[in-house]
Amino acid sequence: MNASVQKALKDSRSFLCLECGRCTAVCPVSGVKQDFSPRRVLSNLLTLNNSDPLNSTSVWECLTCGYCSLVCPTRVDYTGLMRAVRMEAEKPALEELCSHGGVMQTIMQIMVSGNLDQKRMGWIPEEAKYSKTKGEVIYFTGCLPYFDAFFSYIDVDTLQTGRQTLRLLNALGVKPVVLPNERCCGHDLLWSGDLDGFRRLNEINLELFAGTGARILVTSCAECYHIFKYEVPELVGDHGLEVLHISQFLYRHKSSLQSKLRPGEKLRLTYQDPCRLGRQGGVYDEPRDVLTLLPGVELAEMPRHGPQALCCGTSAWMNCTSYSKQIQAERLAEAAGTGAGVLVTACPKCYIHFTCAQHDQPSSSEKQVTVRDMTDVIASSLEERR
Amino acid sequence: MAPKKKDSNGFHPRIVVFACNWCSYAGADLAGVSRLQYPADIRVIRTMCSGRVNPAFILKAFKMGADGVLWTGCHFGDCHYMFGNYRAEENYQRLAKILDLLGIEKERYGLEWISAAEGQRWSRIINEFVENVQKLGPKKLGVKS
Repeated sequence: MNASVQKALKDSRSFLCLECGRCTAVCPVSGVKQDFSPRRVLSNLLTLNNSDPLNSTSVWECLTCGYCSLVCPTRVDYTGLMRAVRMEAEKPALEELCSHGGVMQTIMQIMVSGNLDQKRMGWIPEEAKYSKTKGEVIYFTGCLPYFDAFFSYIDVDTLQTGRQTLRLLNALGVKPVVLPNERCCGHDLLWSGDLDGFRRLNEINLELFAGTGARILVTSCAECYHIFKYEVPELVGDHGLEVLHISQFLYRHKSSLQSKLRPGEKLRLTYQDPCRLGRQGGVYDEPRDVLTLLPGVELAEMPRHGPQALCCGTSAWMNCTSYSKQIQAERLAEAAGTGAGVLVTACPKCYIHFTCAQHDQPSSSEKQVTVRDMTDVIASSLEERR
Repeated sequence: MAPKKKDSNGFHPRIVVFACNWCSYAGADLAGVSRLQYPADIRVIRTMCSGRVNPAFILKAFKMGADGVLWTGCHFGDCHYMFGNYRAEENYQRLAKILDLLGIEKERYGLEWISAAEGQRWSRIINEFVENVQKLGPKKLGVKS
């Protein structure tokens, strides 16, 4: 076993594993795929039972949702272990491992190039107030334009998230910086074992951030939030910015936001905690508090919510399988069971994955809820522009 | 048969051409046996159908340093697998949006239908495509993997 894996086992407290199996009991993948077990993966890694655990597909099947670590009596960081192990593991071919033939990963790898002049600002409405260079607040749009281009065929409109976030920021009197050449935050490269690519993307991002003179970085994506708040300072360098998810930013300005909301019709919502925002970021209350500010809105919780929330079934554009679809179907049924008409997400990936699941099975009960991003729900309650 | 000399300031682009087995690749063959001239700057990759080409292939070609990528197949109605080229068209539309976002110039990529009988067309399209890429110069997105 190589030294990096040894270190990863130690860092993740894996030697404290009691083999109690709680991780496997709550794992969303184990729930639908009987031969997947985090406990077994861990014990194979520790004992080398399996001749080559690094070459096993189970390393890539984990959704890294972090539910296992939450219930683990000895707090083994299984998710962190998987991330470290993937850096060392033999990587399957991109086309085999990644959904869509690896389109998303390849876009990120192209973005590593310093010689890139993106044309990613076309979606910004004329009336939006923003700056391309300097300002107090950066709005990091992330992959939204790329998702919109690629996933338009399943009727998702991820750019609506971008437009509505800008509208909300403008309504609060903020004129954010939107960088015309920002790179992807590298979340998916990091979680698919490409530390080098992740570092190079964010070295470019940090340079771009430093030029703006900003103090705050706002994201409308749970993954970008997690990456800039926790991973970039640790693995790349200090950016000196306060990182806020849009829900936190709105929560901070909630009295100002409240004064700008118009009375709305009665609407029953349920909220999907994204793994990176909830379990791994500890942000549970702000999105709920902001959503319940909206006039007429009633928040219904799914049986599994908050720290117990079920993952949306795919991560880092890898391993979108029939198991993912089962997890998504289960979650959509759970959402419908609350009587809510809308499933609100705070991460574009949850939004895409759930919409895709509905797209795949058009005749089933999973279509009972509409999947919408939280920024879209909130901005729809804003007063019309004068 | 020497390739046609072009005034290119010595720049020979690296161009990848995906050609389907049943039409475009045969069209290239016809151009060859008919002794039609086209530059030697292209690298042809044969696929069984234009529908087999995944948008990721084109992105990957750019990532690996291609200066231009051309995607070719049968005319609508001629696909050996009935609808493969319709799928190629759909995928191409999505890919084109992504390439545009990445700031890759429109002249550097394209989707063309070339039948097995169109050696002339193959030669003309390749000549024009290579010339346009030569005018733009190297892309230098290359991150070797």
